[in-house]
Amino acid sequence: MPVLKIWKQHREFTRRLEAIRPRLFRLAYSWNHQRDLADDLVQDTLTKALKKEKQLKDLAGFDNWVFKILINNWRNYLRRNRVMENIDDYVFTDNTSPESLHEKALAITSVHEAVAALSQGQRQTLTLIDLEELSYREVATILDIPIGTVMSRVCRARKKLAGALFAIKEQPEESSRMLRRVK
Amino acid sequence: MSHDYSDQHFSDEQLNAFIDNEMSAPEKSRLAQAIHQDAALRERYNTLRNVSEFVKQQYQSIPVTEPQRQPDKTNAWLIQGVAAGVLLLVGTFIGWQAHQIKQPPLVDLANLVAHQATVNSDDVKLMFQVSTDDPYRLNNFLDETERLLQNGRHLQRKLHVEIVTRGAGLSLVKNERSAHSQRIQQLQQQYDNLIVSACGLALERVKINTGEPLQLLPNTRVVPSALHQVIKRQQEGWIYVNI
Repeated sequence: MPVLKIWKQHREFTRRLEAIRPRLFRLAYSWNHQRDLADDLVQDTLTKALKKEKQLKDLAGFDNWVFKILINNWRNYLRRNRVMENIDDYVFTDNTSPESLHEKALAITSVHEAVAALSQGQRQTLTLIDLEELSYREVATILDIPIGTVMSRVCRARKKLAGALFAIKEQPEESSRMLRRVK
Repeated sequence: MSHDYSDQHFSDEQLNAFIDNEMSAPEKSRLAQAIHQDAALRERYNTLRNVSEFVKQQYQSIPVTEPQRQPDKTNAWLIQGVAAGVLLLVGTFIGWQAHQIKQPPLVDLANLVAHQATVNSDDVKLMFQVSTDDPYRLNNFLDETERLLQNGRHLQRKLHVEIVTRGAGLSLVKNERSAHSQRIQQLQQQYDNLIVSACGLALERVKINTGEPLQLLPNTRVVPSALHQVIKRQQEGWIYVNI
């Protein structure tokens, strides 16, 4: 029975690993906006997840466990490569493609540029919430930060994006009241 | 009974928590009422909401390179048969247990409607965007929508409800014999003030990914994009709730 159980769990684990690949790619791409790098990060994440399979106690936490591996891979990459360029000066390959003349592609590029201009922490927090629709609590666990930091990062990130996308000036909130309760 | 929340100050953090479904039902209803009453607050909310929708939509359209899959040569029909039987039993048990659990409401709709009916003596207009296929959330949502429509008819309110589906929420309007699809069809047959629509961009993506168009339930409208529909409806004074 244990052998059958282990085999079934492994089968389910590999099925989920295959299924989560597109979501990992979108997340990784939203952090660095380079297809090859995003592919490498995802591949590395899937390999590590397979190696560490035994560490996952409950398949219910599979998604967040894999997201955490992806985050760690991305952090390791930044550490190894010491990416210190000013992100504002960073030119994406998308900008020079003929397709960028198209209205839709222009819109995508502008959103991508605006997201790229966020700090790493803000970008990761926002994409986990908006692309993966994770709760604040889940994001706090994955990024290993307090839930209050998640809230303030989302707040600053969306304000900056609003400024970039809709030309709205960022203004400090008057008598800002903190949220007392999170579901 | 309704309250005037227009003079209360709501922070951007609260607005973001509202957008991200991080508030309890009473808090969500209170803020929804304030958004409806206060034009400046509504503008702040719309801006943040649109930012969130832009990010979602733009990254969803990024094509993902799928790896070549190896055909599964394992002849496991016997194990699969046994597993299917066990799963059926387990599923029945879980389904029964889940049926016993009372889900908290996603948003206090009755309170919202009562409020809007007093503020605006004309029509009550509610728009729901569904982007999830979580069965518990969908069940809860359909229960509340049905209650809402029943109450509207009973109280003879001029109630308009639109459900726009996108992403995983398209499962709600997929033409199949699922419990959710059947309920949506029943509701549409019973209430002609219920509009159900699907995001055209999301449908295009499904077609690209699967190679064939998604078969929709009859009477499902296709709108160019869920985002545009949400913005349009909000400009027309509809209350918007994300499910």
